[in-house]
Amino acid sequence: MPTTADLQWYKDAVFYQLHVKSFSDSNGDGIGDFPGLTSKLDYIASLGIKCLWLQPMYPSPFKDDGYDISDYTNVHPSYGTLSEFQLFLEQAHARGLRVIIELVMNHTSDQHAWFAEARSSRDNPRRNWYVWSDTDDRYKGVRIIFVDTELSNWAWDPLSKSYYWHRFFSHQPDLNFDNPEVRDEIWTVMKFWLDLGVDGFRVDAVPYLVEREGTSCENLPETHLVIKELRAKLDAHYTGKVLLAEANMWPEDVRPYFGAGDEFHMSFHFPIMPRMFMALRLEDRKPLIDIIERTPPIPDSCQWATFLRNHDELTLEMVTDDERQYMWDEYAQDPRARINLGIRRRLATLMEGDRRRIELMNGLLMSLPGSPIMYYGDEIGMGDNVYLGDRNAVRTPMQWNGGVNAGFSQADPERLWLPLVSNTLYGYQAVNVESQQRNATSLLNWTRRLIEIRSSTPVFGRGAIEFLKPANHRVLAFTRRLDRDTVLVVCNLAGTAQFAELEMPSLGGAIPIEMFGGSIFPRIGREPYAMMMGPYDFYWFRLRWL
Amino acid sequence: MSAVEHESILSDALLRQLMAVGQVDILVGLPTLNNAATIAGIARAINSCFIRDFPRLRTVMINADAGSTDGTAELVRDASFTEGDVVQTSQPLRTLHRVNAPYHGLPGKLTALRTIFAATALTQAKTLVVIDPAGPATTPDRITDLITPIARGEAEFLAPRHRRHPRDGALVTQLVRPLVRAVYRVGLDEPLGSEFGCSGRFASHCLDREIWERDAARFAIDLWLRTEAVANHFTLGQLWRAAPSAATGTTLRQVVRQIFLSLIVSLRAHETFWRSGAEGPAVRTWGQDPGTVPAPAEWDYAALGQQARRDIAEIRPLLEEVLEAPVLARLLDDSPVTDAQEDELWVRMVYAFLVATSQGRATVEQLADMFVPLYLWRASTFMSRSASDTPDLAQARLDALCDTFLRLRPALASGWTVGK
Repeated sequence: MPTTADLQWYKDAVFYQLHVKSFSDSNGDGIGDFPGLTSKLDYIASLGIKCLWLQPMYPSPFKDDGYDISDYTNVHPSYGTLSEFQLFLEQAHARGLRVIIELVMNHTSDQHAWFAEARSSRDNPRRNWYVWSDTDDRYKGVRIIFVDTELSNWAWDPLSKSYYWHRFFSHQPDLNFDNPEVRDEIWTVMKFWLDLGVDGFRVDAVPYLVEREGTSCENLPETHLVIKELRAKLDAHYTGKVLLAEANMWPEDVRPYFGAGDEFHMSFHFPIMPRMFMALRLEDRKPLIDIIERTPPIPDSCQWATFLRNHDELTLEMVTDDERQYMWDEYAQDPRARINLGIRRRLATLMEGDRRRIELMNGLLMSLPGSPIMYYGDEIGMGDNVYLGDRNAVRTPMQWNGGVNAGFSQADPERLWLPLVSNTLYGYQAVNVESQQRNATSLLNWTRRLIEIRSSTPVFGRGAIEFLKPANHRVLAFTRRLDRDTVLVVCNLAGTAQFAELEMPSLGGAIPIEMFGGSIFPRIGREPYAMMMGPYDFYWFRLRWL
Repeated sequence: MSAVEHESILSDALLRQLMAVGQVDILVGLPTLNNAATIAGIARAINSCFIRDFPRLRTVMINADAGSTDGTAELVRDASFTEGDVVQTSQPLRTLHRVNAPYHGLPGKLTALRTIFAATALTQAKTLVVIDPAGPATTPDRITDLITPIARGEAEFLAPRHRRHPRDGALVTQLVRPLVRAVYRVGLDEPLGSEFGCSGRFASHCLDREIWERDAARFAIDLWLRTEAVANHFTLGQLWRAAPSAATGTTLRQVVRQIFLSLIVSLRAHETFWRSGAEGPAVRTWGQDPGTVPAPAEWDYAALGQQARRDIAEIRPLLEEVLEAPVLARLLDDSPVTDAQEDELWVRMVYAFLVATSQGRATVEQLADMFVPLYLWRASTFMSRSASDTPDLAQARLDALCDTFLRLRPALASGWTVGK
């Protein structure tokens, strides 16, 4: 029987997000697949990763890169078979890797059999599985999420001559969670994958499950009831599984999704992410401290999920208009990099290839509260391709080596589902796993070391945070504490050398040991502690009282 | 001295030295207290060892002085390592660090050792060797022999092992060795001794333990280190060494009392381990067995035995609280008994006293005082019985005693009260 510590493994884990189709192709059709992914599990494990998050791998017409699902209990044939998925899962578990998959429960593809039935007739038994209206007047004023492509949250169905509700693309009709049959079916879907051995779900688009007139149709109490119901079933039948919520909200609005420990185990902390980028550009710690101090406490069994980049645009929903414009001006001067309310670029390009900034951002990710999720390819500094449509800019094939198709596939290059990044700066010839494996000082090996050090103590995953606020606003300093363990983190957010004095009376007597190299630093006394740091430097100090 | 410095076991001066040293591969610790007569030679031997046998590794010698008044610390600090003094086969590639850790906080061996352990943790030394400045002559080879198995990862705790005459070192052969072997299920020959080698991992492990705060630890630490290694499954080793000379400055009664208290400290610290009946780790031996057995030290064991009997008669009412009636009766009975019966009597008394400490029938100190004449009785009895033995026969007696301790072990395990 797993111990409590094991049941809360997600609080210590470093996660790795990837899309099967972009990772490794084993059969030469230009699309990554499960046998290919299985062959790369040793690599993933070597990073120190403890959990994989797979993007949707279900049958789909791929109008939204798989988030439009047409069959919930199968694997898209391009990715392989269910047996190959099962083998992948076994091999992942054998390497100590857990696997969570997507649960896109808010909506299906309009190609799903359920929708085909629902729209076939107003009397069809599945009619009420979706949200229908004779007019598009209902739920007036509810915001549109995909502002670049959608004009309304209602779409006209010519077959049943009525409107259907969709918070995302018009080909993604929303399921009706007021219908208990829908909730039962979603549980059946979950159970299917849990019985195969998956370790949990990243639940897409959670805030939008239920609609009510006169509301924003987001974060309604009824939505929480749906979640509680599913969580109760999960807890009754399984142990050690995790539900991770995608709720792009302010932290106080996300808080309800943890419930009293009876809803989601984890939720993304979206607002932290743009503020890491803002703090760096502003050379000012204020945005980060503000958002973290605004973050409410969550139940002991729960955990935030943090990230720098993911498969979507770098979302700028949870910022003010001024902040959004600042981010666009600083990070997306090329209008092609902008999409919806965000920026479709990878970490490396956002950091202009500056290794020091990339390291600092990763250092922040790994030391701030929450469990960090790395996006595939960021460990080698992969670039993006803003000439590709939608958010494919950041979903290009993994760059394994400098050879044909970057080692991703044996197919003809024209057949790859997306072209490789091949410019002189970030192209696969220059940026790839093989070359970085051979270079002891590569970003890849540095990232491994970073994760190794982070994983050497539970403080980063479970400890409380307390900010020190030196007079120099360019220096971000904080402690992480768990029981008797204390780590001091000091970051220079500026591109110039900086000096700061840290007032740490409560840490008096502690000897800082720098965690990467083991160097001993002077004992902390009652006087301010002087820190001199190079551009974008950061330190993690383990504090010892001897 | 600042207020924060005062609360630490590391002075600012020492900390600054350690910062300058940085990470090391080998740390040799030299705890001293009034060792002016020998210390300069020891320091030179350590230096020689570093240059000759570990020229590429990062090394440091740390003298943790416990408050010497004879200039020991100054002699270490000022010792010169010129070519004429040492045999050098190569020039040192690296800076050789020599750190002085002056008296800071409570005086004594325990503080010195704790300082050395803290320095080991801070410098992340992979290998720690602690040299006993009062031990047999320290040569570079002796130090290298202690370092090498640890540095190679073949052992995490290395204790000296001595070739004694079976009638020598009665406190070890009659009590500590058979008891530790039986209770911890480990084939350790010398559970006592100030000199040892260990891994940095073991040193860091010990540093976090509560032992350092306990009053009895000041003389229990040697035994506790060994039993801590056993109870926490560190790889153990033994190294043949010349036997140390007898400790001076303490009486036999004081030593017996201290040993008894040391045993209690260890048993309490590791009660979860030894009560589980788990086997201790296998113990490998390095070095050459000297083979020849030194002649036993001469002492008037008959007189000691008579005094012991008088003392036992005097404390009889107290013994009635600890020993079962048949055991006490046999102790007071002068009738001849076989060797095996006498061994069994001794072992039952030992276990009864240990159990009594766990049950709080008297204070540990009171029980330690009561135990002394019992030990003296046993030592004199053994010496008398083995007076005409060959070394092999005497050794056979010791082996039989170990077997008896093991056979009667359940008496300790079943009577012990956890957590007292």
